[in-house]
Amino acid sequence: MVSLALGGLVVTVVVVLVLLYILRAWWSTPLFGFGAGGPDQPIAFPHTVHVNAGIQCEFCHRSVTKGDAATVPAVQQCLFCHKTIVAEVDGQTNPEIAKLLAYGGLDPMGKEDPSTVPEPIDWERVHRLPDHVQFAHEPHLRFFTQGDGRGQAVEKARELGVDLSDPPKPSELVEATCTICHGKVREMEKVKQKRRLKMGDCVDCHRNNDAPTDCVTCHY
Amino acid sequence: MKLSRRDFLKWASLSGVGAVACGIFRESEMRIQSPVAMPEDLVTGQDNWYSTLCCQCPEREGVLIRVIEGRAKKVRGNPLYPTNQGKQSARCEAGLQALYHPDRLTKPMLRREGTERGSGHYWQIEWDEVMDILRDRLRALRNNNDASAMLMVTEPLRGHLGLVVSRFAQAYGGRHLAFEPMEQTALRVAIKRVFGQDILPDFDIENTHYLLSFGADFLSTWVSPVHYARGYGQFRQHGNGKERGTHVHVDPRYSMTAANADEWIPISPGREGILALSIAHVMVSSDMADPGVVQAMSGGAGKAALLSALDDFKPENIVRKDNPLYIGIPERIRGEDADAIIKRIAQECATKRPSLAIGGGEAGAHTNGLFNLSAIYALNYLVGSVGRKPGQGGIVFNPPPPIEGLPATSTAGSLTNWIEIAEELRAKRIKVLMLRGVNPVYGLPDAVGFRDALNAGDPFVVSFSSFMDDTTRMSDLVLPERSYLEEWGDDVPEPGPGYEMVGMQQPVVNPLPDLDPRSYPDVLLALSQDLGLDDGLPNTFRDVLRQGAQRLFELNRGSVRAPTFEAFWNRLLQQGGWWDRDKLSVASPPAPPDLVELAQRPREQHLPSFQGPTGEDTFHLVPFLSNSLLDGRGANLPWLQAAPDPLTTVTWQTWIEINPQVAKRMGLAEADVVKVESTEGSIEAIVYPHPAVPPNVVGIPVGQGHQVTGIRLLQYATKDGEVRGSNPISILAPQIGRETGALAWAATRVRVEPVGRTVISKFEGQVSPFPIGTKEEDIVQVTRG
Repeated sequence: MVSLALGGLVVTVVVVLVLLYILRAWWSTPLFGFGAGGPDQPIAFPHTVHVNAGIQCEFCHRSVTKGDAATVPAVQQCLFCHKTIVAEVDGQTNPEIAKLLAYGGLDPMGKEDPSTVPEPIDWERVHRLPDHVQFAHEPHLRFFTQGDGRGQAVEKARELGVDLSDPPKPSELVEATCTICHGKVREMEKVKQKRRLKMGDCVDCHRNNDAPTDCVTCHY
Repeated sequence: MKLSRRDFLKWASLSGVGAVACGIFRESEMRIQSPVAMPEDLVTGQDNWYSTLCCQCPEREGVLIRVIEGRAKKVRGNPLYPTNQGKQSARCEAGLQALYHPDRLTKPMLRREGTERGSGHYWQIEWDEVMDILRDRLRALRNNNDASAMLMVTEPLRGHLGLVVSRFAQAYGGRHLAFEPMEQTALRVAIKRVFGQDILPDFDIENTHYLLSFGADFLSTWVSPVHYARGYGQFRQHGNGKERGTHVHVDPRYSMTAANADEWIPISPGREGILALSIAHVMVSSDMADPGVVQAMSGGAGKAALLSALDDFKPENIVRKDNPLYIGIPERIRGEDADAIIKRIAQECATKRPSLAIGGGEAGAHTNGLFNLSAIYALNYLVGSVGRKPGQGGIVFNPPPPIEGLPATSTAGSLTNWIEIAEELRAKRIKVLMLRGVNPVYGLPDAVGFRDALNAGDPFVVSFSSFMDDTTRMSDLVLPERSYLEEWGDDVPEPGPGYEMVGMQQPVVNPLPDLDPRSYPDVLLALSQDLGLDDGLPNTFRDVLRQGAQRLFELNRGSVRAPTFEAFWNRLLQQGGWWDRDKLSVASPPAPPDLVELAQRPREQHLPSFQGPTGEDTFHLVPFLSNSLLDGRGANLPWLQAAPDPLTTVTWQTWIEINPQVAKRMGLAEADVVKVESTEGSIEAIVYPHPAVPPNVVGIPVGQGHQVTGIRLLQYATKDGEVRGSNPISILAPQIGRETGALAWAATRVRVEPVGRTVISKFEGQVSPFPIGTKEEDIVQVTRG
C-alpha cells in the first residue's frame, strides 16, 4: 500500500510540475503573479531617472528604429555618460552606478581599475516571445510614427497620460509607440511586462489596423 | 546491478521532475546581454534576397537584391541568369541610390495655367485627376478623328512592357517610337544585311580564340557590356588545354576596351571598313579562307575577280598617305611596318580559329557607318564563324522569344525619324506627346531643335519619370513612376545567350510612404479600359505577365518546370527567369555578302564625310559614353558621378582627351578649360592630355551637362543654377548615315581654343610623389619617415 501511495505521489508531483511549466510558458508572465513587479536586475536600473533626464528610448535601444530587435545598450554606451556621472560624489557612493562602472572595468571614481576586467551585463529578460514567432520592431515603429498608425499612437499615449507636444516631436512619437506594447516605462523604477503579448493580442491589433494576418507574417 | 521495471520508472520520473524543475528556475533564454563594446552600427534583422532585373542600362542584367526590413540594401548579379552569370556593373549597384533618391518625384504635377513651358511651375494633383485629364484629352483627340496625333516615346522596350505600349498605341490609333541617344541603328541594319537577323546575335567572346574588334567599347558600354566582360574574363584565361585568347582592337580612341587589348590600332575615324576589306584581301590572297565562301563572296565570279575588286584595299595601298583610302595609322608601330601589321593580323585571325570580328560604336557612327560595319561583319564568313552553336565561339544566332509576338529587339527611331517628329511638332501635327523614361531634349543634337519644336508646336506633353530632367521640365503633366525595384516586368535579353530565355522582374520593395508613384503599364492598361480600347490584355500588368508565364508553363520544358501554374510562377520569380539551353536558333547562315559589290561601290561610299571646321587646331570629335553615367541617365547619382573614369580617373566633370604633344603646341596643360566649337555650337571641357590619343582626334565623354536635374543630392558640389559639365551631343552636326538615316555621331569636326581658366578635374597625379633617390641614405630617410 505504502509503495502504491508513494508511486501515486510521485506521479502527482510530476504531473503538477509539468502543468506548472506549461502554464508558465503559456502565460509567459511570472508565475501566478509571483514576481509580478518584474524581475530583479543585476543593476537596479531606473528608467524613470534616465527618461526624466531627457534621454529618448531610441538613444539606448538603438536598433529599434532600424532592425528586428530593440537591443539593450552596450556597457560602452552607458559609460559615455557614466564616465562623468560616477558613483562616488562627495564621499557618498551610489552602489548601482558603482556596479556599472565595475562592469566597465572602472573604479567608483570612474578611473581605470587594473584589478577588474570589463565584462558584459546579463540582464533578466522581461519580454520574450516564443521561438516560433518573429517580431520585428522597425516596421511597427514605422507604421505608428510615419504611417497610418500615427494618430493612434498619439491617442494611446495620451490615454496613458504621456505628455506630448502639439504636434508631437518625432522622438515623442517613438515613445508613444513603445508605450502601446510596453506601457509607461517612463514611470517604471523596475521594468515589468504590461501587456500579455499573446497571439490573440497581436492578431487583434493587426486586424484593427488592416495589417496582414497571414500565418507567414509572423511564423516564418 | 539489476534494474527492475519499477525502479526504472521511478528513476526516470525523478530525473524528469528534476529537469522540469531546473527549467523553471533557471532559464538562460530569459537573459539578455549588454556587450562590453558597442557593436559598430550593428543592425539585427533578417535579410531576404530577391531576384529581379536591373533596369539601369539597356542591357537588363539579372540581379539579386538584398532586402532587410522592407528596404533594399545591396545589388549583386544573379548567378543563375544566363547573360551576366552573377556579374554586375557599378551602374547596377547604383540602382539603390536611384530608388532612395531624395529628388524622386512624389506626386503627379500639372503645369500651372498661364506659366511658360519649362518654367517649372506646377500644381500637385491627385491620380484620380490625372486619369480624368488623360482620358478627356485622348478621347477628345479620338473623337476628332485625330488619334494619329498622339505619339508615345519610350526607351527601346522589350518583353511584355513593349507589348503593352505597342498594343495601346495600336488600339488607340496613335504611334509609338523608341528613343535611344547615341543610336545603334547602323549596327542593327548591318546585322540584318550581313546575317539576315532581326535580333542581335550573341558574340561568343568566351569561347573565341582570336577577337578583332572595331570601335565597339564592349567592355565598358557597348550593347551588353556585363555579358561581354564576363565572357572576356574567360576568354583571357588559359590552362587545362585552353589557350589564352588574343584580342586586337581598332579604334581612333584609346577606350577601356583598347586598353585591355593585346594590340591597339589607332585608325583615322570612319576608315574601319577599309581596313576590314584589306584584311579580307590578305585572307583571300593567301588562301586562308574557305574556298566555297570565297566563291560565294565574289558573287560567283571566283577568287581572281574578288582579289582584283579588292586590289585598291591591299595593305600596301591603304597605308600610303597619297591614297584616298589611306587609313591614317602610323607608318611603323613598335618597329613593325603598318602593312606588315595588317597582314599579320589577317593571318592570325584566319588561323587562330574560332575567331570573331565585331564592330560598332564609333565605327558605325559615320556617314559610311553601314559600309564599315558590313565589311567588318563580313570577315566572320571568311573565318567560318557565322551561325555557330553556343560554346563554340564566333557568332551565335539567337532564336525568337518562346512567347509568340513578344517584342525581343530594342529597335529605336533614327535621327531622320526625330527630325521628322520635330517638324511635325512645329506644324502642330502632334497634339499629345506621351514620354516615358526618355530625355530627347538632352539626347538629341541641338541642331534638331527638339526644345524649340516643343515650344512652337505646344502639344500636351505627358512625362512619366522618377526624376525631373530636361524634357520632363518641358511637360504639362509630370507623372511619378515606380522605380524598377518597385515594379513588375520581364525581358527577352538582346543579345540573348544563344538559346531561348525570358528574364523576370518583380517588385522587391514598396515605395516609401511619402511617395505616390504608379506603374506606367498599369496606368496605360487603366486608360485603355477607360477609353474602351480593345487591346486584348488583362487589366493589370502583373496579370499580363502571368498570362505570358502561363504560356511558358504550358511549354513544360526548360529551367523551370512545375506541376501547377502557381508553383511554376513562384519558381520563375525565385530564379529570375526561364531559359531552355536546348532550344537554339534554327536559322541557318544566309549566303555571305557580295564583297565585290561592296568594294566596287563609288569611292565616296567607302569614305566618311565630316562637318565642321578644318585647319589649325581642329580635330575629329569622338564622343563616347561615360563608363558610369552612360548616356547621361546616371548623372543624378553621386555614386556614379564619383566613380572615376577607368582610364583618366576624372570624376564629376567633362574632360577632353587630347594628344599631349598637340596640347603642348597649343599651350594647353592639364586642368585648362577649353572651348570646343562645332558648326552647331560650343561647349567647354577640361583638358586631359592623353598619351594615347592620335593627334587629329579629341574625345569627350557623354553624360554631363544636364540643364535640369534633381539637384538636391548634388547641391554640395554644384552652385545654385550651375550646370555640371557639358553635353557633347548638343554640338553634334546633324550628319546622317547613308542608307540608315542614323545620326553619324562621330562625324563632327571641332575647333579647340583655350578659355583662360583652369579647373582641377582629378586629384590623381596632382601632388608629385615623394622623390626617392638611388642613394642609400634617401631610402633610409623614406623608410624612417
